[in-house]
Amino acid sequence: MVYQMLMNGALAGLIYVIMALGFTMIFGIMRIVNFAHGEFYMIGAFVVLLLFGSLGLPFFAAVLAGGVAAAVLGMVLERLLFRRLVHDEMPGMIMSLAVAIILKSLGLITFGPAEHTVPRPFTGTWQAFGAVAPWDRTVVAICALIILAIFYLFLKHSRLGLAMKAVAQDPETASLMGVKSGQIYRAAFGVACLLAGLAGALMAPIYNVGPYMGEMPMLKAFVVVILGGLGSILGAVVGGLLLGLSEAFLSTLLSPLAALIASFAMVLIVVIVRPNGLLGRTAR
Amino acid sequence: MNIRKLAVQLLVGISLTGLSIAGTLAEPIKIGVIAPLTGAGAQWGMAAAEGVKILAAETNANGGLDIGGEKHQVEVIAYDDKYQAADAVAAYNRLLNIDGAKYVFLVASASTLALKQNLEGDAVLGLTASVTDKAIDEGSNFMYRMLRPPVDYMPPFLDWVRDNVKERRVAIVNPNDETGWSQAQLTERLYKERGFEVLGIELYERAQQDFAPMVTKIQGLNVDIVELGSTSPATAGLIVRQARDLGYPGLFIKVGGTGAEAIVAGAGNEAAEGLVNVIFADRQNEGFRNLATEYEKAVGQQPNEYIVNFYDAANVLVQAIQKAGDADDAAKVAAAINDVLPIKSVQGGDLTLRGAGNREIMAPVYVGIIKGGQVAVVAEVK
Amino acid sequence: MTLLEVSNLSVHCGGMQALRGISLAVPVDSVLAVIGANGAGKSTLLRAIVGLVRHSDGAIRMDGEDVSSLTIQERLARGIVLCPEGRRLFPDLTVYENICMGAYRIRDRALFRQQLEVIYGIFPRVAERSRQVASSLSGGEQQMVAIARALVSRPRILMLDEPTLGLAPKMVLEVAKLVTTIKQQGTTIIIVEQNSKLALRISDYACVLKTGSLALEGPSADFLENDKVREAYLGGSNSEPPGGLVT
Repeated sequence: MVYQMLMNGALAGLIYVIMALGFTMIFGIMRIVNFAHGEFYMIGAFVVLLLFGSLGLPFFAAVLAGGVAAAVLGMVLERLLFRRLVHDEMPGMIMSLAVAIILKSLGLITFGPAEHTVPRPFTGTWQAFGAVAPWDRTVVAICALIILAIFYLFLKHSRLGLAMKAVAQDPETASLMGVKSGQIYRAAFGVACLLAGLAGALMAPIYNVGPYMGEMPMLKAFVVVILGGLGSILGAVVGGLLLGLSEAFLSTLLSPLAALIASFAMVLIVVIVRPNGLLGRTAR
Repeated sequence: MNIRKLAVQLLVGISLTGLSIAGTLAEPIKIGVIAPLTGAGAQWGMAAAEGVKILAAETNANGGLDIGGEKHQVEVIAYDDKYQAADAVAAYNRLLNIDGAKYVFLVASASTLALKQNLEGDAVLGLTASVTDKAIDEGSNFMYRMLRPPVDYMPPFLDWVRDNVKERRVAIVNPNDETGWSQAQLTERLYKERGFEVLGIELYERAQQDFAPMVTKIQGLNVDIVELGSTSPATAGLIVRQARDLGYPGLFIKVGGTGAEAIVAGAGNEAAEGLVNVIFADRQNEGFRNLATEYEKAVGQQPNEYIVNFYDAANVLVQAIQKAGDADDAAKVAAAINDVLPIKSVQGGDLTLRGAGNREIMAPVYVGIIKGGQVAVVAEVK
Repeated sequence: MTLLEVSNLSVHCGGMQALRGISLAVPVDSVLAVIGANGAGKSTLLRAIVGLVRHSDGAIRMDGEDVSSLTIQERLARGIVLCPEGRRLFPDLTVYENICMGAYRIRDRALFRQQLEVIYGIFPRVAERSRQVASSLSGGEQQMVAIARALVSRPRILMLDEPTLGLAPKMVLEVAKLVTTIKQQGTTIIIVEQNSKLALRISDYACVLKTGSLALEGPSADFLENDKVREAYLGGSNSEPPGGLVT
């Protein structure tokens, strides 16, 4: 049962990580708490519902399309709405709440209130150490790992990734190096929404697809990011896995309610003891 | 022409036409619906709202309600309570103070309990689909239930289960809220009374989508029946699928709620095969099919079975208003419900009044089993 | 020949006039020292030249062409580079990554490697520390990295804002030597310094700013010789800068 709990926790945690990465990235670079992050997850899922569920296109093509659709919308919204609120935390937060409500309502108008089901591209299970893992969730986990690796390489070795980190740490000095901050904001928002869209697209066949599906992942991302430290990429990875595992163990051993309480208790403790998160940088 | 001018003209036009309509017709009778129109419970809420609306449209098409020789249109106002008490209270206050409704249909238990006292104080007639026994007590003069509550149908339903399945080890799964708690307690008692062994009660959060931990725990209990209680259909589909994925081989039974089709859609035909569900409507029935057609026109999907109960209850209500001869006195209308029943359900069969304080409108209930992705009605619950 | 010319430059910052009609000319391959008290507008002058703050009046000419309406990136392309006050390294990036950011505009990999060689030649310590995270370096090392980062993009005019601030005396000397080296390699320099003695020693020309206006300008040698100037603008002859630079 311990192995099964580890398995459950890792499978859930990896998606939390992908969600939290984008969320923390937008905050790190633009100082905007993007409460609409869950809605980009929803958009990715709806694209899979349409392209894979209804039109029968290949699953991974639909997943990519979902990510790209979320990214494109994210970049448009960044230019129109968020660009002017960069580094202005409160108005940025309120704008993101407004965007979240509007996107949710548009989802409701377009797809109706009922939750939709996407057919499963993978079925069956595999076993290790007596723990069972469904193939569909395993594929999601593998994709999440691949996305993580690509994201890491992008940040570590690409010119754009380097510029993003530089802007996050000191936007003015970055501009002295010739970095156009607008380009970086667009790229950061695009990449963050791409990640959220991919997460939603991957999860579409696993959970139900509906206009409110983004709320829970958004909440989890929020918890993860506070645990790991707002703006910290490594913190998002550690926080995501920590949350996934703690939920898996506590839900199984006690109850889902206990797991929920525990996750917020962890947030409280971290906020009190380490206000910058487990791996957050201390205030500059 | 400038835009402001155009707007003024439009406004004047609208208000004039509005006045002319008001001039020719008597005051409409307003009926409120407070239901989860969004989120996981939306299928119930939408079915509830549409059921009442369809009956209202039929009544209006026949010229409206005749009260003392005056024809009244029936107007249905539906608000979303998101399955939450606070939203229900806000919606209720709107209905009462702004819209001026004297009748309200309720879906969720949380909302029903939150509004119970208000209904008595404001003399507003409430018809609820909530099955919690706390919804109606000694002091409830204005609350009616529109369907057979679990206390009434569950004993005979579980008698059928005892006589027809061989599994005996049960885990009960329910949402962590008022409906879930009362359902869990009741089911636990009834299963035990019939010689089943209840090995665990699992309460999950309404918005939860990952049930792997819960299923892992249940598998540790080594049960052969998972009772899904009042879990919403979409969520039940997820639970069934995730449980099958993790290798749970046993039986699923669902004594509460409705929406077996949505369970199949969520779980897949294979995983849902053999699930035993209480059914409030027979989808092969002609009356139901007519309602389903209307619903599909409005919403674009197949309705939840609840639509029958809300349609029937709305029918009881308008008949009672007509009988009472006074649309403003909910007490008189409540008294008249007793007089108009029994009447025919849209599915055939009689709607009768009995149960707690003689305030429960009893409608037919069936045992359904999922076979090849379809719900087969195998018996009527006596 | 004049490389950079500032004429009648005025800058307003938040309602206050930070610079009032400054006019300066920087000849090719020279070092100009800008000195003056705190808040005199020295940093603002550099920030206006590089394009970080908008000017309200006047012109900035590079090779005779007005660049004052260009963006930071366009000015960078013309070779105007600022090494900001307080070093401002990207704290969580490695030294190498910081240098890469300095070369952000250079897209040609071969050119970048060649520049890196040049830089590592001038700053052997920076080369040694290239894998280290910037925030782990000492103040002097950080300043070296900051100058290296500014230099890697091959500026034609390098502006150093308070490069010796907070450095140990030994490092101050090293920075001074570096300025001379960079000048000899053909880069024009504007240096803003509180340590006016040091600034005058390493510069060819100097100007004194006082509450946003140009108070005095001329060859640095004249300043050092003129006791009156020293007393009026450089805060008296007895306030020796730290580091014992007086020979």
